[in-house]
Formats: sequence, C-alpha cells, structure tokens
Amino acid sequence: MRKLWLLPLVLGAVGGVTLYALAQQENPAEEVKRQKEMLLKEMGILPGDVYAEQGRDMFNKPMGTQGKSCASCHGQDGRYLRGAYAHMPRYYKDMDSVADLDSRIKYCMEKYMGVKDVKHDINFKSIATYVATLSNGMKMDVKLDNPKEKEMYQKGRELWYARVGKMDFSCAVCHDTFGGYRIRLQTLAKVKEDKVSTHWPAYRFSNDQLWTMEDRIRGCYNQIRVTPPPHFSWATVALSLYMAYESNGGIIETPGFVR
Amino acid sequence: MKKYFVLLGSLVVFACAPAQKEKPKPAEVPKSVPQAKVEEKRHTFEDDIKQDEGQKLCSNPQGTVSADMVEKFFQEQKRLIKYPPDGKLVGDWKKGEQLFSNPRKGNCYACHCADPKELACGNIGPVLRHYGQRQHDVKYTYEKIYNSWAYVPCSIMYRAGVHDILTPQEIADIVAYLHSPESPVNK
Repeated sequence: MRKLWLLPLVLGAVGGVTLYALAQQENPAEEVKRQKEMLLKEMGILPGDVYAEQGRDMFNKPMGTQGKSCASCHGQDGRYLRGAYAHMPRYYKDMDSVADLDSRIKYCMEKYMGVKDVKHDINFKSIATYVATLSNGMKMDVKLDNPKEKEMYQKGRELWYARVGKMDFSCAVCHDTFGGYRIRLQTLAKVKEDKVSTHWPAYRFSNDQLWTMEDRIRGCYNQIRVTPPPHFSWATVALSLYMAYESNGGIIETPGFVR
Repeated sequence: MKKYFVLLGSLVVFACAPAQKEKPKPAEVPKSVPQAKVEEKRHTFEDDIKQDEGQKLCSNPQGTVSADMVEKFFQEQKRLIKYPPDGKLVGDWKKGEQLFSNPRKGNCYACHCADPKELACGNIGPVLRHYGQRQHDVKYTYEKIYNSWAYVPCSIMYRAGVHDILTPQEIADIVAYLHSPESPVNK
C-alpha cells in the first residue's frame, strides 16, 4: 500500500513509452499486422474469433419464452443464413422496414423467441458477429430494390454529408476527404475506398472490445460531441445501409481486426 | 512532476468515490438541483444534428459552396466573429499552451503539430511550427480560430468561437501561444 505513489510514475512511464513507440510507427497497417501476429502467437486464436465461437453457441441455444433458438428457424449453425449478411441492411416484410444486422437480430429475438429487453451487450454482439461470419468470403451485394431501401439509403447519404454539432464535422470530411490522415495518432479509415463494411463487426485491439457497425457509428458521433443515436435507431440503420452499399463488391471478412 | 500529482490526485478521487456513495447526505443536497441538471443535459441525436445556415450550405459531396456564393458566405461568417471586451487579440501564451493541448478545449493537436515536444499530433491541418515567424497578422490568426469558415468555406477546422468551445479571451491566449517568440512553437 505504501508503494501506491509509485503507480502514477509507472503508468506515466509506460504511457510515455507507448506514445513514443506509436509516434515512431509510420504505417498503421504494419502495427495492426504486428498486433495480430502477437495475439495469435500468444493465444493461438484471435479474440474476435473467440467471440464468434461464443456467438455460435448462443445461436444454437434456446432463449426467451418460446423455447426457441436462432437455429430453430435458421438451421443448425445457421446454415440458412449463409450469405445473408452480404445483402444487409435490407427491407424485411415482417418488420415492414429496413433493418441492419443488429436491428434484425433484436427483432427476431423479441418476436419469434420471446426474449424481453434485448440489450446490445457482449452476448448480443457475439451472435451478430457469428451471423456475419456466415457470409465470409462472399461479395458484399446490397441492393436498393425496395422503395424503403432507397429512402433509407438517401437518409444515410444525407447523414454522411451533414456537417453537424459543435465541431462542424460530417462523416465525409473525416472518412472521404481526410481518410488516411491522422487525428492525433489515430489514422482515419477510408470508409468507401477500403469498403470497410466488409470487416465489421470487428475486434478492436486498442481497447479490447468487440464492436458492431452500430457501435462504430455511435463512437464516431460521440467523438465529434454529438449525442449518439440510440442502438437500433433509424440513423444507425441508414448509415449502415449507406456504407454497406458503398462497400459493394468487397469480400466479406469478419470479424475484422482493427485498432 | 506536476503531471504525476494530477494523476495521483485523480486516483485518490477514484478511490474515494465508492466511500462517498455509501454515505449519502440527502439533507444537504436539494433534490431539484441535480434533477434539473440532468434534464438540461439530455440532448437527443435529433437535437444535435440540427444545422445552422452555414452547416446546411456545407453539407454536400463537394464539401464547399459554389464559386458565386463564396463572397456572401464569407460575409455571413465574418459577421459571427466577436472580439474580446478589452480589444486585446493577444493574451497569455502560457494559458494558450494549456488550451491548445486540452482535448476538452482547443484540442488543436488533434490536427496540427506545433511544439516539437508534442509527439502525438495529427497531420490534417498544416504544421504550425515557427508560426510566429511567418508574418501572419494577429487579427487573421484570431479570426481564423474564431471562425475558420470566414477564410476557407466549409473548412474541416471547427469554428471554435462560433460554437463557444473557446471564449474570445481563450482564443486570444492561443493567438499568443502561436505568435509569442517565447512560446515553444517559435523556439
């Protein structure tokens, strides 16, 4: 207990060294590669894949009041969901609205399995990640055939370019115009060019968390000091749809591994 | 060393937090006050994405306004600029240094490099090293920080003064940090 005063010193030193090491790293892609190799060497598996496996278990497990599992409708290990994520977000007849991965899973759990108060927690995200992995290796192929899909895409596009909040930012200024540049030491993703929707949900090694695209969108808004849209809301669906459509043609590889 | 004391201080605060929770003092705190505060803070996403005129004009894939509108746009944005009550556009560079790096205030290092000792600086904005030797007018520097859109339509640089992120006095302090020969920016 007496040595507690040392703690800030040690933390400061570690922080300083990390910061220095980060500043020396010219290529962020190299850093990601290095982190990935390190984790694989230490654990033999990437944390994102562990979550996806956990998601598989949850997928096959009955939940809620109906005694059903996701697998009851979508087949053992989701065999009827192969390729589903490649066409998401999309319009669903039973919902009469456009849903992204997260909103669709929530709807299914509530309506068909009788799960109450679906939370966007790690179990939920694991299921979402698992469902996304069922489309790995396929091409992102989001269509805008339904009028509601077109309308939602248009809303997403408006949000993408809207300069908002105290910081006057839009998604576009950071992720189109300045994609590849750095905010502090964080490199901004080139969202359209790199077709980022193909590798979300993703595991973020910088804070050891599994994030779906909804978390990513909310995180961005939080950083530009705009109150994030709630989970499963029109804004997260609209932006997910916009980005997924712009990622068409990219090969799906989830869970992603990002900084 | 000062930094470590601050860190230590915050640790102490964290350590004390649970202890405070166990002993609430309901008699001393009028209930209406914290409630009112929460109500005040509860913005929604829809509230926050409401745009002002300038933001509306800038929300397009081109990321700027059309050439024939530029002049009017500049005039509108210039009108939003306010100056410190004492008229001094150059404040205290040491205060400016704090504001420049504080992520909750200027957060200028997110995009600009200035003091060579600061390694964690972004590369979106121009490097401000030796800014004071570049013959910039202090009025220009002040206005640029207060409202960058008065010089570059729809610039990515946020309008610190327009949105009250920085007060006129605070902007003057940052102007001093950039211009003063004593400032590490110009050393």
